[in-house]
Amino acid sequence: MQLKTTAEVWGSVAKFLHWSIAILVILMMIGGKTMGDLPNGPDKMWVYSMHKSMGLTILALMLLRLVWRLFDPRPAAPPGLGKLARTASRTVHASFYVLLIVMPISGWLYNSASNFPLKWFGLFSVPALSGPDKELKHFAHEVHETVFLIILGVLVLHVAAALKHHFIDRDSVLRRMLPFVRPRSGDTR
Amino acid sequence: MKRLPIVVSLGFACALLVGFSVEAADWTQQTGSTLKFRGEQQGEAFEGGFGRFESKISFDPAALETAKFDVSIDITSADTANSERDETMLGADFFDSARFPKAQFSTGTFREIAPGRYEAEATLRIRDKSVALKFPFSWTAAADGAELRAEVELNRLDFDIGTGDWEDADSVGHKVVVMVRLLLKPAA
Ligand code: HEM
Repeated sequence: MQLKTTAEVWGSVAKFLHWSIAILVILMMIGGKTMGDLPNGPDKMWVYSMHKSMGLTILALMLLRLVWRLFDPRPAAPPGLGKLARTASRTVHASFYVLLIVMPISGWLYNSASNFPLKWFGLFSVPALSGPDKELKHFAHEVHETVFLIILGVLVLHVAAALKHHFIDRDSVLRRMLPFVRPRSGDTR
Repeated sequence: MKRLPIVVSLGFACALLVGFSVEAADWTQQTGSTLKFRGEQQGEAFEGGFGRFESKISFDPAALETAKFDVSIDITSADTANSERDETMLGADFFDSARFPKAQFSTGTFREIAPGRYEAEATLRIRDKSVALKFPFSWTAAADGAELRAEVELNRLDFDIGTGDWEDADSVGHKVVVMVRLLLKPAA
């Protein structure tokens, strides 16, 4: 198992962080959009607390990922990739780091300003980021909703680019991030 | 008419006594008095309070048999600084404040349990449920009035607060602690 990223392929730590966060974020986007319509009751409260706990998990994973990324640079860009494409790719990836950190923090802030208690998966108490505050609550909610839309947009670009690399450029960009796939060494195409 | 002077003097004594005890034992609630409660949601404590309640307090430590508390609580003034929670709490599953806008607390007999500490047999009505309970409190006289403090633990299910699915103690704890602090001035 290759923990660190090489010039050809992402390391298993980077892959694990990428895919666990990807699955969680997609579940969170679907769950977040639908949970508001649940009938009021203990079940709704439970779903919300799962949303909050999973969101905080994403925050922790994102912070780990950010630190890991500082010591574990990305593989080389496929040869022949244009300057525009490189800039686009950098921008999309950098915005994910920002958005996926702002998203859980805005949720956490919304929860704090709403004055809801928060226990991570029922296990331990998470401190509030603020006291009860109507204006802050409104602001954090706006951020949470707006950042959701931006993430959705960036995600579409991200997935479209990965598919383009794989099916049109036919390079290894998607393959080298896939779990359980070991590109041949020297395969940077 | 030999008995007349006795009747007159007895009547006079009673009037004096009543007049005296009314003056000595009736208190009015001052601003700064609070009626708070602490509950639990998903295992985490939260606090709230009632912004509006009116207490009629007659109390003289030297004449406990004349003591009487009557408190009317405006349920709609309940506030836990969380609009979603407050809406649910006032809704039909919990307080149902539209049908039961007032709660009523009144006392029966009083006894002293320690110096400065007393206990009243009391009845608390929330929604349409009246429950008998013991109401222990401390009474501290100050230069210009008195202060009453009490803490009582209730079980919300005794009052049908949060029935059905909401009975689940993991989502909303059954135990609710009510904290009373009355700042009192002698009634004019
Ligand atoms: C990356 C992490 C997260 C994602 C992707 C996410 C996603 C979402 C989405 C899509 C919504 C619906 C927003 C809308 O109505 O447009 C939502 C709502 C919500 N989120 Fe998050 N969320 C995340 C983290 C968190 C965290 C950490 C918390 C709290 C600690 C939280 C608390 C909430 C709450 C309370 C709502 C409900 C808002 C309402 O009902 O009006 N979220 N979330």
